[in-house]
Amino acid sequence: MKHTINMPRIDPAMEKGIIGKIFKKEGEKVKKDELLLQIITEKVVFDYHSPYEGYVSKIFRREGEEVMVGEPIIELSEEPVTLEIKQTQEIQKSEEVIATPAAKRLAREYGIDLKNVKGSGPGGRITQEDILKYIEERKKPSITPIMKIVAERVTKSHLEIPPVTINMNVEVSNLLKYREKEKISFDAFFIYACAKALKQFNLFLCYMKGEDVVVNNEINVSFAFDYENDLYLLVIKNADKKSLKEIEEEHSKLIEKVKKKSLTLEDVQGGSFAITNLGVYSVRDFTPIVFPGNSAILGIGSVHYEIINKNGKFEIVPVITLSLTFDHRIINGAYAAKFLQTIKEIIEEGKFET
Amino acid sequence: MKHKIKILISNTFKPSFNLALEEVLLNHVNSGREENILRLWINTKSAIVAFHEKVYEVIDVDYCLLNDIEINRRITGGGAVYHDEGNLNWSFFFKRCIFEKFNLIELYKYFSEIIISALRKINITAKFYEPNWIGIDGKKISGMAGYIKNNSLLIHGTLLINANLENLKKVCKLHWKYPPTVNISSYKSIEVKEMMEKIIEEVKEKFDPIKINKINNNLEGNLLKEATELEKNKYRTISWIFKE
Repeated sequence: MKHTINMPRIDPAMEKGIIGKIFKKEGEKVKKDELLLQIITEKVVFDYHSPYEGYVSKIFRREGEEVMVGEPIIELSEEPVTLEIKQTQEIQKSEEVIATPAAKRLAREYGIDLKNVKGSGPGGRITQEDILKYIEERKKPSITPIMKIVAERVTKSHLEIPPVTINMNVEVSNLLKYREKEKISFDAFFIYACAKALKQFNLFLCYMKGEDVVVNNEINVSFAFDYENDLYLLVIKNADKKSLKEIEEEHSKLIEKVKKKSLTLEDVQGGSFAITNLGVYSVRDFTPIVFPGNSAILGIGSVHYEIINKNGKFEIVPVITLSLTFDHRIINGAYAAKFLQTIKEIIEEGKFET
Repeated sequence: MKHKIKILISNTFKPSFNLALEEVLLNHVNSGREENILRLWINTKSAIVAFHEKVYEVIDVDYCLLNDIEINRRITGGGAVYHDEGNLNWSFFFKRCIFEKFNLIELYKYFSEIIISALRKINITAKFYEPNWIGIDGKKISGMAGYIKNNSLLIHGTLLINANLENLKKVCKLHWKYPPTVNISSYKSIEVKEMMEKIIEEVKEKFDPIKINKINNNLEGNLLKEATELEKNKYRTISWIFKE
């Protein structure tokens, strides 16, 4: 015997609910009263426990889907179900897809699996228009929650802040030499140098909030990190009190956390100055956007070679171009240039031990 | 026979901890490790979204970040709310069997009546509005949300006493969709602490109070430990708050 579990009506006014979680997989055994579903309505979250004992034979809907009251979500069977049977059923189902010849041809051309296309014709028949619509939809990137938030914030910053970007070349011979000894990321070197420079140039730790100037008291340098299209600003707190090695360790720990999706608020909050590095992608210089709550951001470009005049002798040296964008309401060009010069000196001197 | 109830008053204003403790208490009542509970708690400036909401749709994230308003997520349904030290949160954790014959609206009404009676003690006439809020002359002073488990249920709500309503409007993007909000203090000069006392008085009359715990530090060891763990592993993580 089989029982279908439909979207329950939790309160009289309820019309639909969202499936928050399905706790069982197809084929799994369910005991009576065992937790089966989590249902979310506008007013309440509800744990649904199985009224029957059985095996999950079918799951009709997915987590996150909105389902009308009375529509099926899960089917329970009294007899165990084997997954092989399920698979053949699925193959049979895939053969059942109906489509017009033109739609089939188009789908073949674009390498589209007809199973993924919703048909709008009679009896769910897939038409040429359905395929074209599917192709259009597929072009759109999926927007993640993080992307939405970043989009909102950079737009606001771009509209509010009058930005100026200045560039400066920094010779990195000593930095590269240091890297031969110890594998340290470029980010870490620049976080280290910025933190030291910020001690003297504390205007960079202030930012505008409406008409007011707000002072950040800590030198917390954040770095932008892109992972699966999501942009994160990860914060190294009190970077001025940390050694290069400590910065590097924290840097890689934070990146690990992004990948494991285990970031906490502490990892992303409180940044008072930011860096962003496009050097790995061979970008030489660019105009970064200041993040809200900061007054500047330092862009780091790729290592490239330039001919310089060293005491009358021409030499070819490796350099990195720095791009500093700052809020002109607080910081002037000369002040920003001196700040860049200080970073340049620290990097070129190559004494990263202190 | 009056139902037994334990009264807990939090002295921690940290949103992430307070939200973690809500979940832990609900689980403890569900497994029978705890009696029915009334918990009164206050959060520092924060924007708390409901279980299913997308943060960017309901909250002005930028405003929150620039104004030190912590964003977090609760386990219950409903809509996004703004908390600060002028807002009193009240939570009832009860055994579900007591309310077997109640539907959801009746549940919200039942618990809102306790708050309404407490308000009556200070000569304020408030009313329950379907489905889940309390108001004075159509102006909202409290919004409620809930979680129903197999053996337990949680109904909790806000209570605006002298909260920063300017912040509320700026934080909650969708506030215009809902009834206008008002502070109780616009009708009667009252502090959060006094309101707490009135609710406790009311609960003591209605139920059989078995214990009154004034501070979190008096929480039974494992409750505090569990809540702290859950705070760290869930309520402080970006993936929970922003539902990546």
